[in-house]
Amino acid sequence: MILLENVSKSFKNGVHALRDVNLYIEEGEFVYIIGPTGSGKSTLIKLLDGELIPTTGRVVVAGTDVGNLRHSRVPLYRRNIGVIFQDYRLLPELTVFENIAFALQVIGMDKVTIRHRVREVLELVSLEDKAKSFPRELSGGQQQRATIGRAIANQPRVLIADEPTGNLDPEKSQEIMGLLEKINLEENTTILMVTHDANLVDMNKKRTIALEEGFVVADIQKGGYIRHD
Amino acid sequence: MIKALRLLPFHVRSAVQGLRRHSTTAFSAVSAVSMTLILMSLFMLLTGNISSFTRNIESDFRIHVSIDALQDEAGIDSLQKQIQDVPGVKTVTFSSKDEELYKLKEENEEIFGMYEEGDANPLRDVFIIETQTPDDIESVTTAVNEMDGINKAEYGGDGVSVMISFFKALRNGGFIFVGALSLLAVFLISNTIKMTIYARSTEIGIMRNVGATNWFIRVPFIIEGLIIGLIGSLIPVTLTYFGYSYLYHVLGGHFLTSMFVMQKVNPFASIICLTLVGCGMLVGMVGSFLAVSKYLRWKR
Repeated sequence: MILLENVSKSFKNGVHALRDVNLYIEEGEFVYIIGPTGSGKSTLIKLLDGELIPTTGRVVVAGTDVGNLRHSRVPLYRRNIGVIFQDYRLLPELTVFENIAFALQVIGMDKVTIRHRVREVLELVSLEDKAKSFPRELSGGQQQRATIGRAIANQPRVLIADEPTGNLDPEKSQEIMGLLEKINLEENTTILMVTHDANLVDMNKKRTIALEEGFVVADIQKGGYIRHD
Repeated sequence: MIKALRLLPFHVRSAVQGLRRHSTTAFSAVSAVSMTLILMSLFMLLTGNISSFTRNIESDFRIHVSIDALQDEAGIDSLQKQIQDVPGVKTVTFSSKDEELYKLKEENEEIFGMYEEGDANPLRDVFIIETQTPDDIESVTTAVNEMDGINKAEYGGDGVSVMISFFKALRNGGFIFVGALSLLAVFLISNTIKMTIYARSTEIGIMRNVGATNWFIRVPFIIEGLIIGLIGSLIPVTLTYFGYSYLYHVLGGHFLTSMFVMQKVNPFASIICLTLVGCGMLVGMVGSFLAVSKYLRWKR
């Protein structure tokens, strides 16, 4: 489902964010990407999302060569993947309901189906009572859940989550984890989750890929947070 | 295409919503449109009237041909045909010497009252020639002067033609100015709208993030531009129409002398109003299109 072949990414300012990364993630897998700040996690996500083009190598997601997409084709590609952004990226002038509905409107879904699906999603992320609120009226956790709702609304085949529990307390984090696991199991959605949260990784063991200085330093099937002293 | 039409109500709704939620920036864009359109309207009114002045003077501009006294009726007929065949001639009208005297008497009874019609009339029969364009006047005059049976062909002289060429230059200059002003308007308005949209560049990025195609993002902004242009043209249109008809009635339809006949309020002012509305909407749309496209290129 996700394939990275000899992927390197360097920036004009001389920073090498990723160096010769090779990864293969199967359909339906749930994978953690861990690593300290500046290890290349965000760059990896931007490569998968099509926001960045790899300097060398190939990024293939769901059969699409992401780095080779024309500018105008990028949004079409993104309809197959859902991204949960660390900074939420909700449209400030739209309510929670409208934000989630927007992701469905852009793919040309009809009104009745949209309304139905948004209700469903709001229930899933427990935001039914916030449907008419604007993002600025929500707490961090609520905004987080709104972006999760938007990301999963059109049932993407791949879900990329950038620190989805970064702003939440442990209890809420567990709740989000449960939600993601449910999506992973029920919809067979491939999930790639970037996280800092050692407890979470230890408690919900899954395949874990560790990045450091742009290299993949570990790829452990049984999971668990990697600590080195 | 069908899908695009089906989505139109949605786009219009989001455009209206966008305007409502960004009302201050929208207002500044509307004011920019208004100011530029008012300027444009002033110059169009001016140029249109100068062109009307020129046309009026031009139409008064005729060649006066006096016919040799020895010509009989058949000779006059053949002369008229001959003149009609000269390139550039529009109409040739015969006017007998008695008619000419009558016209002179009408203008000034005191001086010409002493003359009498008939054999004692000192005037000659004449042809009045109108040319197709004022430029033909000189060549036609020369050609007619060379014909047998013509006493003399003359026209108003250099003074009038200098005035006509002056007005023509003024009119052409005005057209160029209006053209330049329209370009300036596009630039100004597109800049204002660019600033309006700048505040929303993150919004555009997010739209792409959730899978909105470039055209899906552009259309509501373009509709917003159209609405801004439309609202922005309301004040200039009102000012132009009512201002001009007031001016027209106060001045009595001509400017300074009766030679300078002003354009009638209808259709002149109405056409300018339509042009203003059209320009406003077009410029708003083009401005928005350019601005959004710029920000779209920023984000991948």
